[in-house]
Amino acid sequence: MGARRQVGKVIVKNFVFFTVAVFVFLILVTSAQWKLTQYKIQDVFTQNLKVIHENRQYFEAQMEKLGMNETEYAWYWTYKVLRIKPTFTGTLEYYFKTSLSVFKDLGSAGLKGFSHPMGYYLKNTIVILILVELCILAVGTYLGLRAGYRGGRLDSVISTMAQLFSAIPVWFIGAVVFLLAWRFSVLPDFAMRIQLASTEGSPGLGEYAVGFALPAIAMILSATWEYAFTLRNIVVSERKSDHITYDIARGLPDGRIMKKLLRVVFPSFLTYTTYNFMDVFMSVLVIELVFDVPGLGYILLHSFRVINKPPEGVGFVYYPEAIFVVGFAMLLIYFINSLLTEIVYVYLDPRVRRQ
Amino acid sequence: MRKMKAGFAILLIYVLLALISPHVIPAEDIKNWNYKTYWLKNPRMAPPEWVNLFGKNLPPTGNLREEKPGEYVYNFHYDQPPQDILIIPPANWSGFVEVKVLTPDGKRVTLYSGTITRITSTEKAFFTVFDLARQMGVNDDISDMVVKGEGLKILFFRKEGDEWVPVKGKYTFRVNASSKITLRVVGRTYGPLGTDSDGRDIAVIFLGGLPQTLVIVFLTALTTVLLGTATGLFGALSGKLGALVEGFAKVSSMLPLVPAMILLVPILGSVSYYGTIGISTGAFVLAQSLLLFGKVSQNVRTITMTELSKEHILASKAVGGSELWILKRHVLKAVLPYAVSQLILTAAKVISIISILGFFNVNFGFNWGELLAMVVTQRAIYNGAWWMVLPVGVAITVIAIALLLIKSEVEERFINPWESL
Repeated sequence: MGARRQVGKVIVKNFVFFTVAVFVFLILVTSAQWKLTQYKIQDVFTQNLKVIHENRQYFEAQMEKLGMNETEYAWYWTYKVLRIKPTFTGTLEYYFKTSLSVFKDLGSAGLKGFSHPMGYYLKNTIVILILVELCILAVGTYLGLRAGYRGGRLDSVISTMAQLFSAIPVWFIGAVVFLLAWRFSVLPDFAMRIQLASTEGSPGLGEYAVGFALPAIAMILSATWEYAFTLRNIVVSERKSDHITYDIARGLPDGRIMKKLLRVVFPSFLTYTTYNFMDVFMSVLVIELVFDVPGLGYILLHSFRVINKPPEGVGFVYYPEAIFVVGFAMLLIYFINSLLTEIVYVYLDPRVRRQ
Repeated sequence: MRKMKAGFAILLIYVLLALISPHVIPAEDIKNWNYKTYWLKNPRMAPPEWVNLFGKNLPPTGNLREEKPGEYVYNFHYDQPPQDILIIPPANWSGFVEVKVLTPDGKRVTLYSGTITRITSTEKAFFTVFDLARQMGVNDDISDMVVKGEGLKILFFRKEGDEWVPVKGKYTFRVNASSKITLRVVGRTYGPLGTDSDGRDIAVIFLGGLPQTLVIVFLTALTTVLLGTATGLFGALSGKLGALVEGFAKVSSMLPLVPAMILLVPILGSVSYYGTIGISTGAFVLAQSLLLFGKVSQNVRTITMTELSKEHILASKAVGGSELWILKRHVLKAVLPYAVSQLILTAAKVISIISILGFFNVNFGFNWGELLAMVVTQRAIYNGAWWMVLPVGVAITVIAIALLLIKSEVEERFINPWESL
């Protein structure tokens, strides 16, 4: 099969999975809204009916225009207030239309329930994600390649650290970094810096770099070891192959052999990077919470909560669009990442092309 | 073998702690966890008592001993005043209470005088603090102290120049009441693990939440691996079913776990009286397993298909071996060690996920997720409340290390035995 045809197949397959996953997620978003409104729908309707009945003169014109009697008009308002439709499928359709519209005006319209537009939160997360992913890849590749090729003390350090850091939850590493930075007064005012800069226009790269230094350090500390260890394992098995033994016997410089090794192991490493990407993304959202960075993690935290409202009971704060936006952004980034990797794989690995 | 032994030894300690926990943690504490007035007798945001062993000198919390009828003695030798002194009447009693104090430097003051009907704070009532200040001749800094929750500094400290210095020694409290009154010093340290911003004992959620945490972790890991293995195996056997299973597993592994779990809270949960959402453990376990089984299923399917394409299996097929027989005789041998390794890995992952879900305020019962939700909602990290973060962080790390040690040994012995040669 030709490379182009293979790429086309990869695109179609990934797009189908992406669409299904988005639809499943939208069903979850709508179901949550549906369930949260059902417990109070009757109360809201009764209240609306009472208000309409007592102030009929104010609603008469609109009722006539819509061709509704008092009860129908009360239900009309109940669905409007609760932001649902009479049927679940109708509600699903409504959220399909409204949720995606958030992406139309990323930089201008405020996200419902939040003080900034969606673009503001998305940008912060993407900046930190890119910063972290690049650092992890650079440091992880350097360490893993050296450890895999040369072995020795670096190899044992990476093996131990990978086991240890895969056991420590990322929030804990973030909390320790935060507490240590706070204890020794090296904490830069990251959130404040970004917020101040954004009020005066768009924050520059320098501001982002300083502002996100600590969250990035925490993430790099947490995730680099596993990357390095995985690359080390792939390099160790490849190093035993004949062509590398031949290169060593020929007396080629280490740097050249390592470059060759990197080229050979790159497809395998790329696969691991894709698989691990969602974990890194999720960890970034957690780290954002630890360091109070206003990103997608912040939206996620505030998109649903229960509030105690004595004496009548409880109330909910739920922003379906907000949580959909976060889920959609995660799915989209995963889709793009997965798609690019698989396409690159088609060109890098001749075995895939031959299939 | 050493790794496995060490791993199992650590796991055994956790299981023992979980078994002991119902006998150590009072059931009342767990029942009243969300009932704020239940925790009024404890200090708020107080570090553990053992911080005093590491250079701190903070007052602990406890009831004052009655030396003579109506006379209580408090030996104060700390660097900060207690958060509060509570006057605790007997249940269903109300009446007049007067509390007078004789300080080590000979001052006699009335700490409280009035009718009480329930547990009464001396520090939180502005009138009491301002009256105390008037008696002690203090005019400055009072509002500042009240705002900072240091109103009792007026009783336990004296201003020398610009600085407030503690007056250390024996404080005698004389209580005049028609019934037996308890005086409780609400200090600045509490118990083995400290308290949160509502005065709740962190040891209660840490130890009391351990049994449910372990049940969720191992049940989820088991369900995930069973589901993943079964779908992976049968998906590899049948063409159409295989494609369907692969698609389902792929979508499951694509769905963003934390946002999906946040949504499942209102979908699956019901609201309790205190405004918290409860989800049955079974529903939570199943939901999480459905979101996690994808990768296991895909890998089991790959292993099964690799095994099925081997020559000895093709030979078995040729001589009439049924698919079920081949599965039992050949494929399971390759899949089982992987499944065991995934069971352990998933358990380590689930414990981390519970803490992450807690971080996003997805709390679904009395477990460590609730503790992490407290860390976020009370901004414990920003308030420097390390005692709410470190013990649970270390505990999760240690159990994850134990699980990874076992996994590593399983892999060395059963999956990649040649690597250890």
